[in-house]
Amino acid sequence: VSVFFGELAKQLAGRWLSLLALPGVLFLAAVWIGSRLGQTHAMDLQRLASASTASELAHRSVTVQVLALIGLALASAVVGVVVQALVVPVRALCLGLWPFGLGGMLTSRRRNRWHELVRQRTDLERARPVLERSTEEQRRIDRIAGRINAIAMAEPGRPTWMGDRVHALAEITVNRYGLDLAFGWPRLWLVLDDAVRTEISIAQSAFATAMFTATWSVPYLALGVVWWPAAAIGVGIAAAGWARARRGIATLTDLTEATLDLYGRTLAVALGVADESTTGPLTPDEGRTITDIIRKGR
Amino acid sequence: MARFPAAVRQLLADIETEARAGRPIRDLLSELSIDPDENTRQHWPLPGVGPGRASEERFGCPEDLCDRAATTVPAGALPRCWLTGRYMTRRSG
Repeated sequence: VSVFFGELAKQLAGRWLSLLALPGVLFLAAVWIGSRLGQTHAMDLQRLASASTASELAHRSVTVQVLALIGLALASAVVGVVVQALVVPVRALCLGLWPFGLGGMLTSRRRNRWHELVRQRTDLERARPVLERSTEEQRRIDRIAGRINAIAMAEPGRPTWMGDRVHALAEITVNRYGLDLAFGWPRLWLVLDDAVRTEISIAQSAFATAMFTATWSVPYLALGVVWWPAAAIGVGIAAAGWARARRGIATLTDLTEATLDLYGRTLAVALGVADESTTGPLTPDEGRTITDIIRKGR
Repeated sequence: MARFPAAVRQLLADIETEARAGRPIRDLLSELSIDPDENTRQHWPLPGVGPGRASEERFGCPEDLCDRAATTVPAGALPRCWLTGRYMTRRSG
């Protein structure tokens, strides 16, 4: 058993190393390089080679070297912890939870584009009934429907695409199932199968990791004030994290909507709202009754 | 433990049994992934499927008492009967 815990500790240490310490060391290296070169000699490799800190350290005593290593490890851990704390505002930014109504204009723009495409689609559908439509006419309608979904899966309500993925999920749940997602989700989670919970947990972890990756761009962008190549690195990290976060939130919301479609009735049965003999997705009336039970007038 | 799927629980039990018996467990541990990405198990959308077929929703009287038809925006709120307040039902086509 001790071997098991030893191996587990090793894996956890490896995860800590890859998520916090190693990126922290890389950032500290960037800080060191940036402090040596500055903006005026940002790409001057000869100047960097002549910087003597590393060679000076090699000639110091073992004690000094060990202390320097400990200092480096602590500093990288501190940087990692600070970045971890920054994940919350970065996530709020990505999910369109902006303060003081800052996203109002962007949200309106997204909503207008979405409604314009819905109008185009409706016009085409009304112009020719489905049974009289040519293949090309149907394809055109399908393409517009795809563009509508690419903007948002329901009427936009947030200034960002990622925010609207989550917003749409909450809207669909209340519009189609009468269920309040904020209060309903913890109850639904408790009646889900292990396999479903695992799939959703994996998707949540993937999104959280992507957010963490994107957050590492913040210190690099800040360092860009004194050494511009750091800003370029920051933009690269932000782009990679953003792309992964988009994929992650799409997967998470797709899986959550699928879970509601497939397991909404399980929740209704568990709460006594529906009989065990009933089948099919949750009805809006059942969902409203569940919402009344779980929100308790709040 | 309960939050893990059955296969993982079985694997954990096997690891414990082997460890108690003093046999090597390195190979079993390598099967026990705690990587948060777990890309091999993550759900991926089907590549190249395209936008799919647009779903045209039309709603009618829940009791078939009148001919009123209604529509809503994609994934929008279900229309209700003006008289009874009941949700209108989906019509095919």
